[in-house]
Amino acid sequence: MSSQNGSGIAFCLRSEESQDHFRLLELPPELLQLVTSANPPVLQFKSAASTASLAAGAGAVICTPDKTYNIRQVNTSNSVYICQPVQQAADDGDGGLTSPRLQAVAKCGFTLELSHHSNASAGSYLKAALPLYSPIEASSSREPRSKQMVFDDIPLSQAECEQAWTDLACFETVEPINCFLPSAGAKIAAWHAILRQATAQDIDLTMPISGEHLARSVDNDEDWPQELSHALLRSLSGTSEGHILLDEARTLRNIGVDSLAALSQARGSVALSDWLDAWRDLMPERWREKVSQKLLPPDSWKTLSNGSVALNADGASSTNADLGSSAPRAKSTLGAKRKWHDKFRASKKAA
Amino acid sequence: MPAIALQPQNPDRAGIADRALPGLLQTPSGLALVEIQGTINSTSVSDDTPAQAALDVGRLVFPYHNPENEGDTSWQKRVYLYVGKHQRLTGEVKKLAKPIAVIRRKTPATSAVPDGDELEIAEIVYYKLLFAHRPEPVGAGG
Repeated sequence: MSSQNGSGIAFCLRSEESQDHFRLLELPPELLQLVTSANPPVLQFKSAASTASLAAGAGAVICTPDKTYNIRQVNTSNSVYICQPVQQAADDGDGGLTSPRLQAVAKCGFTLELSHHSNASAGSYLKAALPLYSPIEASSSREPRSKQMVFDDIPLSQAECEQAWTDLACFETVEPINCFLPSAGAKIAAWHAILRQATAQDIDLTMPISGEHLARSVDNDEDWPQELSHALLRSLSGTSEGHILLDEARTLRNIGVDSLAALSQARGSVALSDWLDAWRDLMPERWREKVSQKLLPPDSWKTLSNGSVALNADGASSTNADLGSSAPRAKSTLGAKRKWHDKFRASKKAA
Repeated sequence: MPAIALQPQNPDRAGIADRALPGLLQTPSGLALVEIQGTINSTSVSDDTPAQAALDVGRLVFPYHNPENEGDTSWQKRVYLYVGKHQRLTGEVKKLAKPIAVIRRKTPATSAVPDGDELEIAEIVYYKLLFAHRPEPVGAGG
């Protein structure tokens, strides 16, 4: 087999000082499809702002417009070269004849592997990052930031951030630019004003709200920004774009949670009947009958020994975010971390 | 921390026209992956060697590759990398279970952000050359 001479491709190594810098990123099928599509989107590397707010295990992530992948750096002991064909200088004076030549232009010690994210919800990041806007005062101890600046510090995709932003009725003020997370009290006050306007002007809030009606509903003399009212209506309709149509289940649930939070804030709890009455009063005529404490997720509130009710602090956080889906996802990240067990489980059973 | 953009592949990317590798391993930009278990050591680099100079390792040979018959994949099982005059590595062409995006920093000239950090996918590679065996001694004459 005398194939050494003449045949084949010359292989050479660029000296270390002049090597290029590359990173190798493994592409899961879904992501591969996206980046090789006709109109590939720009992806984003993101990481949380401070290590303090990092959920366990959340490091750098890579985001498509609507999905998030965890990045894991996997080192290799092999030498992985990135190679490029080069034209060999025709120095033999043979009329510019070139021979094929492959040059290793960079060496990579690790590969970036991606795994599916993660139970971290954008909501918890927003709650940690945004100043609370309450009827009494807007706390503004933190540096004012725009919405996009806040999103940049959340290691989740734009769509996931946007959804949580809408769900939580967060709003951005224009002058000066700043972002706020409204308190339950602020939301209830704004909702109350919207209801009052709607009743006075004969606007049915259970129907799609036209632009003109919307402007009249949120128009008020109170001292909170109109952005809050808009954000609230968005959060009750559940969409960040398009026309506003309040979602019945969402409106009932969210106003229920917020009214309970607002009422029980002063003394830590409120009598069940007081809460239900207040909640009923906060509903458009047509939905009043449907008010019931059963609409709230069972773990979001509790009955105290004296018969009054209070919001369950831990449960409340999940009511506004996507319901239910967090638990199984938490399990799957754990599985990804302890990949060895998964890898060997199959062979173990077979044996 | 601001997000760092990762731009998709440039559809007009093109490498050097010289197509040395078998078609399967060719990519539009010419980038390919070669993995060697171990490291390449050389005694021939001296202080006199200019920094840009490339170190000649040897030759890459696809003994069973027949350009006329790309459909036949059996040639992928054997690739030789002759190192210097006396050593040969045996390897194979391996399809990557998950294709790899080769990422690099965008050069200021092609970047939309003048001095920002912007990355781009230079190429997506589907196959690699894997040399997972020890080098064997071979005669200089072949």
